[in-house]
Amino acid sequence: MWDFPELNFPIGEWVNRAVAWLTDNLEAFFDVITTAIREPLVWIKNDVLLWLPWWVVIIIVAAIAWKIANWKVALLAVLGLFFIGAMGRWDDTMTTIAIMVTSVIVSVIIGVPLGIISAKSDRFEAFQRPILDMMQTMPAFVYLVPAVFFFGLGLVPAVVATCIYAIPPAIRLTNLGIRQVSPEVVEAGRSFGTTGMQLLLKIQLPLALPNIMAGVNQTIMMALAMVVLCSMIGAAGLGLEVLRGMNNLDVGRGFEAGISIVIVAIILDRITAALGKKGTTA
Amino acid sequence: MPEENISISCQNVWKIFGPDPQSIIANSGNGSTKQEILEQTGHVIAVKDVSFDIKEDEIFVVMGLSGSGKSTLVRCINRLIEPTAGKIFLEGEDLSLMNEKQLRELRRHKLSMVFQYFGLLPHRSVQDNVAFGLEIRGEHGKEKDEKVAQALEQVGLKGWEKSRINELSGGMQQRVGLARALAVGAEVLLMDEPFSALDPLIRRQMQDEFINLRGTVKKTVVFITHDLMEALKLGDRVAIMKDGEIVQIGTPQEIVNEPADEYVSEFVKDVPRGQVITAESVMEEPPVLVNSEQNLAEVIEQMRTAGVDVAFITDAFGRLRGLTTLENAETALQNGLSRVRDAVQNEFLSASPDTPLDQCLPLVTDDDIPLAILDERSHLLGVVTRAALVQGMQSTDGNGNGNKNGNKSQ
Amino acid sequence: MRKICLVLLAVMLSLSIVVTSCDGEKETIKLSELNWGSAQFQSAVAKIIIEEGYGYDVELVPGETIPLFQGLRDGDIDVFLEGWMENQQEAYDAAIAAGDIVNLSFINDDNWQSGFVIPTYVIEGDTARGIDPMLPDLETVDDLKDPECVATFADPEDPSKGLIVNGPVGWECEIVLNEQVVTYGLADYYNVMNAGSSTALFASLKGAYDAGEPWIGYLWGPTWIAGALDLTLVEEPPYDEDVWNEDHGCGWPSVHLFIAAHKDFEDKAADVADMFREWEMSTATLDEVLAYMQDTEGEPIDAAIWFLKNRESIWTEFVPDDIADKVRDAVADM
Repeated sequence: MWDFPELNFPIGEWVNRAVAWLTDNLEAFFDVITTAIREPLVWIKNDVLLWLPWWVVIIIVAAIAWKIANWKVALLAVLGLFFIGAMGRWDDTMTTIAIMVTSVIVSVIIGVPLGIISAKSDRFEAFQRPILDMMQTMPAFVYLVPAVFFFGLGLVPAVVATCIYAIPPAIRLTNLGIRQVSPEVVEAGRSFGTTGMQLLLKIQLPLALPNIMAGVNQTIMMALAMVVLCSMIGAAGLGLEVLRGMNNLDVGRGFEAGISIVIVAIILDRITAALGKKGTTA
Repeated sequence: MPEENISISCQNVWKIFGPDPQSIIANSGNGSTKQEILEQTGHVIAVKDVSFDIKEDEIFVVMGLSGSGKSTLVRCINRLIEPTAGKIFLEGEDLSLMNEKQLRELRRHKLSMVFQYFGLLPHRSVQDNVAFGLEIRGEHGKEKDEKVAQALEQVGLKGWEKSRINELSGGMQQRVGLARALAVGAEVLLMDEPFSALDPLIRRQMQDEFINLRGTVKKTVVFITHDLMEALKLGDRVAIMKDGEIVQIGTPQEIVNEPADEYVSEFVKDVPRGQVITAESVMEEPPVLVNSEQNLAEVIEQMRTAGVDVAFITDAFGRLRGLTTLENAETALQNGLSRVRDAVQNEFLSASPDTPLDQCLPLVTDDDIPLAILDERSHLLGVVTRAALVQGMQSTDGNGNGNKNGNKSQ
Repeated sequence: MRKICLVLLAVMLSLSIVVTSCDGEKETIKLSELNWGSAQFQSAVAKIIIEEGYGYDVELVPGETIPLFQGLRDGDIDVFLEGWMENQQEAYDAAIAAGDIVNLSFINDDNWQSGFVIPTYVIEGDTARGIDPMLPDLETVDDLKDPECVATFADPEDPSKGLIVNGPVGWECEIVLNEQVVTYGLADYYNVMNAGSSTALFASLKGAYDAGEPWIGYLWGPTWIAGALDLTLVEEPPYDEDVWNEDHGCGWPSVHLFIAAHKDFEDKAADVADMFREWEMSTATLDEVLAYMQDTEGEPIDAAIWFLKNRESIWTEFVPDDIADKVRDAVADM
C-alpha cells in the first residue's frame, strides 16, 4: 500500500537497446564526426597553441583582447597567462583552450543555424525547447559514458559532451536575439524588397549579434564548467589536473589547475563580453 | 479599369484577422458592427470594403484614430499585409496577382515606405542606411553613392553621412528614413505616420520641409496620420477612416466645409478653419470690374447701380492694374478727367487663391476695400470681402462656394 | 481539523521518541562504500548482516579511496572495506604507525593481477563474431614495440604512435603504469591516455570490445568487466620486490584486499569487529557476484541479498550461528 506498484516500465532497457543499436549501426557516422572534430582540435592544440612559443601566444591573446576589448583586458590576459605559465600549467592550459575553442566553434556552427530556424518557426521552437531543457539539466555523467562508447576516450568525446551542454545557450540566445529585432525594422527591410536571406544577413543577424555573442559567452562559460567533468573520460588539460589533485587529496595541485581555469574563464569572458557590446554600437 | 493618370487604385479592399475571414465578408450584409463581429466570431475587421483612386503626384492622406485600420490599409498596398479580398492596382497592374518575386521587384523599384519609428538599422551609418534599398537590389559603386548623396542632400543631411543613427535626434532620424525611401527613386511613397513620433515643433518643421520637398520631387504619396491638422495641411485629398471604413474622401476644404456625417463633423469642429479654408472658397465675383480705358462716368454709374464703392480695374491684357473708390472717381470726374485710368489707385492688397483665411484677415482690416485674389498672371479671380471672410472662418454649415465638386464618401 | 492535526502530531512525536529510544541502545556504524563494484557489494553484505544480525544501524558513506581512508583515520568512518593494500601502501603504513586504524583482516589471498590487458580476440580472433586475429604473435610487453602492434593500437590523435589507456587518474596504478611504460621502453612507441575514471575506462574497453576493435590498457580485478569479457594479460617479467621498488619494471604483485577499522571501533562494537576478523571472500566469488550484478543490472544491495540467499556456505563461515539465523530469516523476506 505504501510502496509504489511495480509497473516495470523499462525506459532504461530501451535506452540500453538504443545505445547498442547506435553503436552497431551508426559506427561509420560516428567515425565521421570523430574525425571532423579530432582533426581541427588536434591541429589547434599541437600545431598552433603548443607549437607556438609561449610568449607568442601571450602576445596574440593580448592583441586580440586589446583590439576587441581594451588595454585593461589585454593587460589582464598578459598577467593571467604569465601567471599560469609560472605555475607550470602552460601545456595543460593550452590543451584546455584547444578543447574549449573547438567546442565553442562546434556549438556555434550547430547552435546559430538552429537558433535561426527556431526564430523563424514557432513549431520548431516549441519542439526544441524541451530537448534543450533536457540537454542542460540531464546530469552530464549520463551522457559521458555513451560518449565514450561512440567516440572513444579523450578529447573528442569531451568536445561532444561539452557541446551537448553548451549548444543550448547558443540556440536560445540566437533565437531570442532574432525574435527581439524590432518588427518595424524587419518590416522596413521587407518593404524594400529583401529576400529572406537578405533580411537575415543584413538585418536580423546584425541586430541579434549582441544576443548571439552573449550566447557565445555563455557557451564558453559552460564549456569551462565541463572541463573538470570531461577529464573523467580522459580529456587531458587543466580538468585532469583538478581531478588528480582531488583524487590524491593534493589540494594545492587542484587549486593551481582550478585557478588556471578561472583565469582562462575571466579572459575569455571579458573578450566575448566586449565583442557583444561592440555589436550593439557598431 | 483605372484611368490613365490614376496611380493607385484600391477596389473593395478587405483585411480581416481571424480563423475564417472569408465567412465574415460573406456575412457582411447583416449590419453587425466591428465590435459585435469581434465578440461573436473573434474576427477583427481591420479594413472594410475600401475603395479609392489616387492620382499621380497626389498627396493622398488617410486619417483616422488608432485602430481605424489606416496602417493596415497602407500595408495592404505593398502587401506587407495580405489583403483578404479586393483588388489593388498600381498603374493599372493588379498587385494581388503578383508572385513573391514580382512583389519583391515591385517593392525594390516602385513603392518605398517611411515608418513611424523610422525602422532604421542602428548598426549602420547614415549613408549606409540610406543606401539600404539600393544595396538590396544589387546596386553598388559610384552610381549608388551618387543616389545616396542626392537623397541626403534633398532631406538636408549633407555632412551627416558618417554619423551613427543613435547619435541623431528623432527628426534627423526620420530624415534618414525619408532619404532611404527617396534614394530608390520609387514613384510612390508610402508614409506611415512619419511625423507622429516627433516633438510638435519638430513635427511642424518636418511638415513644412516635406511640402517644400514636394516642390522639387514629384511623387505619389500615401500619407497616414492620426492628426487631422496634419492631414488638412499636407493632403491634396484626405480620406477619413473609422472602424476600417472610409467615411469621407475629399479635399481639406470639403472635409472641413462639408463633413459627410456626424463623425467627421465632430472631428472638424475644433479645426481652426482660418488655417484650412482658403481665400478661394470664400471669394466672390467682383461687383464692378472695368477696363482702364473705360469712361469714368459709366463706371461711377455701374458702382452706384451695384451699390458698392470700389471698382477693380484691369489693363488691356486683363491684368489687375488697381482699383478706384467711388469717392475718388467722383472727385476725378469733377476735376474734368474722363478715363478710369486717371482715377486708378495702383496700390492695393492681393492674395493668391490658396492663401488661408487667417493670412487674409490682416489684409482686409483697413477699410471696406475687398481683398483681390489673383492668379499667377495677375488676373483677378475674385475678391474677398471682410464679411465673407469672417463668415467663412466661423461657418460650420458649409456655405463656401466656388468649389469644384469633390468626391463624397460612398 | 486543527485538533486532529495536533493529535496526529502528538502521536508522531511519541512514536519517534519510542523509535529513537529503541535504537539508542546501539550506535550507528559507518561503513565505507567505495566506488567500485566489489567494494559496494561487500559493504552491502556487511550492512545487511550487521543490521539484521547484530541490530546496529549502518550508514554507508560513498566515496573514493583517498577521502574515505582519511575519514577512517579521523573516525568519521568506522570500518573501511575493501582497501587495496599495495595501491595505498604509504597511507596505510602511516595510519597504522600513527595508531589511528587497525587492520581487521585480509579478505583473500588469490587476487587477480593488475596489468596490461587486451581483448583475447586481438591475438586469437573470434570466428563467431567474424574477427580475424590481429596480432597472433603478441605475447609479452616487449612484443608491443613491433611496428605492426603500434599500428594496430594507433592513437587517433597522433597516429605515429600507439595508445595505451591508463587507469583512473590519481590511483596508484596510474602512476605505476606510467612508469612501467617508460621502464619497458614503450614511451617512444606509445602515448598513454588517462581514462579519467573507472567508468570511462570500462566504457572505453566495452565500446572497443563490442565493436571488435583493438584495445590495450590497464585493468585490475576483481571487476565485473574482467568476468564479463574475454581478456588476456600481456606478459610482464614476474614480480620481484627489488625491481618493483626500483622502477616498477615487472608485473604487479598480488594485491591484498584488506578491511580496516578506526582504533575506537573495538569499543563501539566488538562483536562486529570479530565478525570482520573472520571475513573472507575469494576473487572467484567476487567475480561471480559482479557478473551477476552486471547481468541483472541490479544494485549492490540486490546482489548482496542474492548472495546471502544463495551462497550461505560462504558467509556462515564468518558469522556466528545465532546471528546467521537472524540474518537468514530477515533475508528470506527480502
